[in-house]
Amino acid sequence: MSIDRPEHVSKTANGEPVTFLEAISEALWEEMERDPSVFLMGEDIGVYGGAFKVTRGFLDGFGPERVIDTPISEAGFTGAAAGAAHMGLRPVVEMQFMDFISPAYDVITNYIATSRYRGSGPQPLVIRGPVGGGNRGGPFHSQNVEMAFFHTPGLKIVYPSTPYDAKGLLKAAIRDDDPVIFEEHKGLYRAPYLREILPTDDYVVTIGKARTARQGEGLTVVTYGLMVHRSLEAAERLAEEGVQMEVLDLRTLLPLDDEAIMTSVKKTGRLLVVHEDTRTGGIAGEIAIRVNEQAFEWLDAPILRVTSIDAPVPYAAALEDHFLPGVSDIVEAARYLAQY
Amino acid sequence: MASDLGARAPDPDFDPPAFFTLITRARALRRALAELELSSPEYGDPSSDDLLRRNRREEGVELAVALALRARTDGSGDILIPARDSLAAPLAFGATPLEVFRQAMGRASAPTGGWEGGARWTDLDRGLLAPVSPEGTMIEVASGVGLSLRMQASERIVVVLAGDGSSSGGAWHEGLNFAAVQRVPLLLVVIRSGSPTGAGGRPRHSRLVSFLDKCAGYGIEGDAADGDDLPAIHRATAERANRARSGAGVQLLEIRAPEADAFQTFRSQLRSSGEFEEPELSRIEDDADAELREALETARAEPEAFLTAGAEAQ
Repeated sequence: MSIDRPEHVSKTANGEPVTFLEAISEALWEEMERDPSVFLMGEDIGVYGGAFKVTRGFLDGFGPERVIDTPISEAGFTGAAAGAAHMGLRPVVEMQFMDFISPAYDVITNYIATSRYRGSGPQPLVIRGPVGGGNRGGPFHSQNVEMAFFHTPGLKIVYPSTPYDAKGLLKAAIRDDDPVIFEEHKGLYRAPYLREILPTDDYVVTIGKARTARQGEGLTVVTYGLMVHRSLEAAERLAEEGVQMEVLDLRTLLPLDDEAIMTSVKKTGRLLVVHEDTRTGGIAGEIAIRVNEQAFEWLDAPILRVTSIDAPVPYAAALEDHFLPGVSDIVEAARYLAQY
Repeated sequence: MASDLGARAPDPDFDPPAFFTLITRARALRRALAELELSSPEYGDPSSDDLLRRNRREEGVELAVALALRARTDGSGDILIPARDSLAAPLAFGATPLEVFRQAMGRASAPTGGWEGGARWTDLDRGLLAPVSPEGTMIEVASGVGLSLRMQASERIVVVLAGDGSSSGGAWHEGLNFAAVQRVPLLLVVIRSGSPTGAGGRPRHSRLVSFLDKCAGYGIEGDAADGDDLPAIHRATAERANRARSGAGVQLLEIRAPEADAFQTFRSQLRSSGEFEEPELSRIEDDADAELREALETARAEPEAFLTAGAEAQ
């Protein structure tokens, strides 16, 4: 199936660099072109092209049967995606903001995640959307939602940090026979420093595999999403002090890449977990206990974490800046660990 | 075979022998399951006796609906989403007592391998899609099944059997609204049991006297039938199914609370109508009992479910 592509989803084909957002648009377009069973549902994704314009031009390209503007009804259209997935389709659902996934919690956890276990077969669907703070969006347009679903067997959770990974992981998610929650940090969408030229071939990035974003011997930082870039910035500062931080970008949170985490921890003996999600019940706790179970003897220092504070995401700039983990927070914690 | 069992005009497609055979099997199966649960605490809960009583009324409704649909075994028929405790409707769509016993006993050979109980598994070849709790979720799921059927320009429809209790939840509304907006071939059958969870309580779910009043709010079509008038239910189901099949969008069929024990009532009517003699009815019942006994013994002798490698997701 070949459809005339708009310019903004043809940049890779034209050898031009793409933003994180454009990489996602390209992945969606190419998967819809490749596989007629892929279709999109979400609020204002058709005529309007989506709140962030991820699907701009898709309605013209693929028509209203494959780009469906839904009622404001997250539970309804997520449940509909589940039904369509039973029937051999591969729906991709957009949450306008991932904060709004909470009304669909029932159908995701009780229905979609349990389907394969209950003998109801695979659920090849993707729930994707923007997450994260820093945009003064306040408590309902800034959340990170991963840990609300991390505890649910049957789901996969992907959270990329680069255009290359976003495109490759989204393609992998769409082709996966299990349900994938795909988180896209708004702070990455149009970040100029992330623009990169992507391969023109049809690549995918394997779900469940972390990547080493920076090599180092002094300590390991395990992180994901926007915090990968905050951590890399911190690493540059610490390098000036002679501390070499290894930065491991998880890319997939569920399933966790234990092997990559343990390999790095065994190399450095020190672990700092950094996430933008709030502190209590954050993924740092799970990673810490896994390291405790699998690599305790290699540790030379306690495991630390840098996270948002336990509060809703505040609106005011001064409050949100205090709420979110910053580079200086990472530097401070890493320095403590390096000197321990 | 023509029938004059209902209060309304005869339904030429209503097949009393097929109906009686199925309701006999369903009744025997439910009785066996109830006995199994009550005599073996590890298999069940004490509320099963309540469920048994309630379903004596609803079995007839389920069957009258299911027999008006296209049940196939090759994936070409309608898709039925039964209620959580349905037995009769799944039997009409090809579920077997042996499979249900395996489910109830948590056998490795059960359709869900021990991960779920009841007649709750998915087999799209037979048109069965397993419900979950809360049941209102299934209307959301059905809207997507219907959307797919509409996209495929299929003549198949998706049918949800639901109690009135689930209508109080948000999922019911979101699912029905989405299905209505997308004009999908969905038939929603609301059986007004008057009891939200089967536990025997009778709180009101709605200020509406009839669920048909909801149709205008969603922009959908609907009809109602008396819960004790089985041919009327059959006929109304067939009519609503045909409307959905022909592109008229979502159909709602309200079944008013059945009061009679469908099996006993139907059996008496078959006798009094002169269409069946007692030996013939007894033979059908004996055949059902024999099938049940054999299935029960088979399931009992099979190994329990076990965890296979890879079952752990993380």
